Amino acid sequence: MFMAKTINTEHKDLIHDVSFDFYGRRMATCSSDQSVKVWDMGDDGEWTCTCSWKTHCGSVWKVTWAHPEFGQILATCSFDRTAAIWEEIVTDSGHGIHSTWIKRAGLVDSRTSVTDVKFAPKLQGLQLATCSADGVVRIYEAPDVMNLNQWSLQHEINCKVPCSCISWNPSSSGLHSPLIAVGSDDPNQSSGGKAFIYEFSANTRKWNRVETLINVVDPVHDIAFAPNLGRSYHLLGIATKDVRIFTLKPIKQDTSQNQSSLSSFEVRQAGRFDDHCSAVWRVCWNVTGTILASSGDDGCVRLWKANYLDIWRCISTFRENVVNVADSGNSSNTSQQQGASSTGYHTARYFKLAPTAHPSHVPWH
Amino acid sequence: MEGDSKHSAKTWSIPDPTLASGMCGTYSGINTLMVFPNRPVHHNDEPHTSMLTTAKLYQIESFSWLWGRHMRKLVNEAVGTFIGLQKAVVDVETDNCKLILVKKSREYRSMIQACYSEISEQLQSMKEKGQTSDEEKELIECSGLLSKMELILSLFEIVFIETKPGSIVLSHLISWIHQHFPECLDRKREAMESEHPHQHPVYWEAVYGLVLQGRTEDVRQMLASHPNAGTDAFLSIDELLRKMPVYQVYAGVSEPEFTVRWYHWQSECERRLQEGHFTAYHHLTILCQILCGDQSTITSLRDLMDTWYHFMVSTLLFTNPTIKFFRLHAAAQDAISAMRGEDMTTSLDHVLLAAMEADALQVIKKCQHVLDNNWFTAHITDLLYHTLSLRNEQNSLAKLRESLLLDYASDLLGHSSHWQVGILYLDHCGPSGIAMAQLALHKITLTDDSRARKVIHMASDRNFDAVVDSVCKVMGRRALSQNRLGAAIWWGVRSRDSSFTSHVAHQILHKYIAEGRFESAPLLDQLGPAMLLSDTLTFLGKYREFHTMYQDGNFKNAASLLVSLISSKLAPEYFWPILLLDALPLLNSEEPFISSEETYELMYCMHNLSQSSSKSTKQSPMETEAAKVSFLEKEKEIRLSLSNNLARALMHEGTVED
Repeated sequence: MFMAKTINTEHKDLIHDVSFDFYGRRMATCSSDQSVKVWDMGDDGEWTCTCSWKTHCGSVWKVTWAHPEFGQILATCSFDRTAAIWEEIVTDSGHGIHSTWIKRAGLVDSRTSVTDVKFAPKLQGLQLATCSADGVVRIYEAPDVMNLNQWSLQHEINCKVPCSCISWNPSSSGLHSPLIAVGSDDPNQSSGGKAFIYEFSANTRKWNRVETLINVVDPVHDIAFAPNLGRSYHLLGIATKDVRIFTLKPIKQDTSQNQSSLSSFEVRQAGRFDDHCSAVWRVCWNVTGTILASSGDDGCVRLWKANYLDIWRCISTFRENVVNVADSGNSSNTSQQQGASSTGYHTARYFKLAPTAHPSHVPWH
Repeated sequence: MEGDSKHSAKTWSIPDPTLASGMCGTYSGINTLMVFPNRPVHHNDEPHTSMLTTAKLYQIESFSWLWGRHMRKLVNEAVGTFIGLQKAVVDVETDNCKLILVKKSREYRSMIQACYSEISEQLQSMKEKGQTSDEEKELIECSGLLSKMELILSLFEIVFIETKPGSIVLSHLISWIHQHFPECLDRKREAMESEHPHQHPVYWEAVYGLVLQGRTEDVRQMLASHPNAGTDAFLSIDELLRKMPVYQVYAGVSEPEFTVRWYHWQSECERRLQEGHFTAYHHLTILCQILCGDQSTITSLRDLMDTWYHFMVSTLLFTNPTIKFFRLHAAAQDAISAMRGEDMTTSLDHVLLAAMEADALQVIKKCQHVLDNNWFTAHITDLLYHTLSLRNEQNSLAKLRESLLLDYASDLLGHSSHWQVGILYLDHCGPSGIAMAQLALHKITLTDDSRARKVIHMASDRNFDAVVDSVCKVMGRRALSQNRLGAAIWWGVRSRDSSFTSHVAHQILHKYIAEGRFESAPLLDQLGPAMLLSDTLTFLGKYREFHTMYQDGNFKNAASLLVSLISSKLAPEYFWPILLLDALPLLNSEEPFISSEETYELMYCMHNLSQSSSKSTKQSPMETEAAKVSFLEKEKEIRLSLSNNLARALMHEGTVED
């Protein structure tokens, strides 16, 4: 069963991204209205907008949080060809705590729209990756984590095709070299695979392309590594013209071999689902990496989960729909779901979502 | 768990037309989804829409009846039993293991029953107050769910845990029916409490109901209250009821012996029926026909038995009391078709049927599909897993058990007040459990210091050093941003983060220069060896030590510590003026605390300082203009004191030598 509540964003244009901090208690939204809003969840579970400010001179595509070990830091990227680092300054004016976000750095190396921005896993220090429509992935680093004004461009990776999305491998163990997955939304099918895996080599201090997912030839709109739940392989979700789930199993290398040789992966497609019937725009994992949410052109959000035999399937679908009360033969259930209950919860704005009729949903006698 | 994704997922509707043009979902946490209106854009074009209303977000959370306040006990007690079970199966020898598993299963059942009766009471009181609310509706739903869970679990216990395959199951099934269908006892009470029981309309219904459950003693009691109890017919049926053999596993009667006795008894019943012992009494005829196992009679009374499984057990009691477990399924099918036909079966029927087929996987699958929770499936799978490993059967359930426990644990982790229970389950889920526990402890919102300490405690119990480190770092950052420098130092020391502690130590020193007092002095005094984490922190700790010595009047040691702080260059340069000013009273004291050697050190430091401060202001180590001015004012005094002290110290040292 699902409960829902609404939050009025007061964004005056399209929202492009909603992102949560490490704990899920803070939220940042960004929009074509060029602003970012930061929301804090109170003890009552209500979201309050604590700051809203203009960040860029163009649509803000993505907003993302750094690990709280580094403080309260946001990064944004925009159509205006820049990315920016923001830090929160909390002041107690005596009338309550007031939060302002200070621009610490502008990253202006791109000559085209910066399409995605992501902080690296904290083990790699305060690192940031951006990608842009001109096909370049840039890795920045703040060498002194106590000084956010200084960011140096560490690496530039030319992917040669327009980049739309990036994802760091969040695997927190020190066993793997850092990995980045990059997706391209180049509409030209003949240009080959549209999803790439880059690995950082500690010896050469370079990022190398170690894998191209050649059977993903349609434009990739979003890409996401799953948090690693003690698995021996990495899980990668891809939003292209369908939902794809890949497993990447590192192949153990003979240590006697040349260290600089590229490590490779055994890539397996664990799932491919065309339920959205059209392009898929976003994929997103839950924090434990057990459920993948996909959003598609059919206006649905679907949740995917693997069973104990590692077979992936859709477990829930959300769609915009005015509740269909005339579910025949399902009266006991509709009545229980329609009772939009408010008792027992702090907020009256919670309501139960209504399920649509389903054959497997047989009422208990 | 069904394969075909397109047909097994439920679809949920969000009633908002603004989402019609497209929506997007992002995850926050484990079970919370944020949905916002969105339509695809190409990154090379800048999209704009003129919105009539501002965009709304939808926060969607999975919600379970388990979060109701009545269920809190169920969640908390179940984890105790679960952990007890995991420990017990390791410690105990195999012989006793079955007993433990049965005991644990009963513990689960009694929890469910306790919850059920609590809700029933609540419902009763609501009914008396005449309230009809949504809460009542939910409670009714919950109590229905609980009673079904109990029904399934008790059958599960009989079929999978207590009995061995191929053994006789009926006695267990009878007690299962006794437990869940006590209505005939209610009828009996109702009838017996009336003035003339035999005239009460439910008198014979009660008699039939009791005999169908094999409650012969109760039947005899009721018949004894009949005015004709002294007649031959009544005495005859009483004898038959008294002599009815009952099979019990540990009664010392072997199965073949029981079978002989049973046929002997039943042929006696048939004989008396044929000889017309009961022709005068229609009701007694029916009663005897039941005892004879007459199928059509029992079927005609099916309205007294609410369900097919009651009907099945009652039929078997008089037709096939030694039925073997593996024949149960056929009996169940017969009972279903006799009761109402297959098309009327519900999900519960399917679960029970699967249990009677001893198809455990099917039971779990169906429960998971229909019951709105992982509580039940996780616990029964765990019970089953241990039962099977007890019998050394090839245990294919390990993966399923782990995956279901992970699901249940992650439900708990997603709940603000059950996360600790979730962690306890994860301790028993293998490597994935450990990984998830680490992740979850990392992600627990550190609302305050006590929550942070709780997380640290749970993490250090499990040797999750990275979690402890991370929590300390986050807390340190937070303390710093709130300007609680003492706390920040303390957290920094715990996480052994030297660059962070240096940063905070500098801040404390700056604050001391500005305000002339120490932030959270007691904390700094207790640093101990931890102060060696960074140079600045060491200096800070030692400088505090100097203050304490000075205040205690231990001037000699204070003086030498101060000089060593200056000469070791441990002090940041901006702090030198302060140190020299601190030396002033010691230099001026009558007794020379600072030796000539030490005085030279101080003079050297003074020299360096005045040289650098005479250069451009930018390079001056002194913090502010004011500090510089105040130092310059004192400079002369310090120099004078230094030379005075040097003279005295030289004289003093000379005297001692003599």
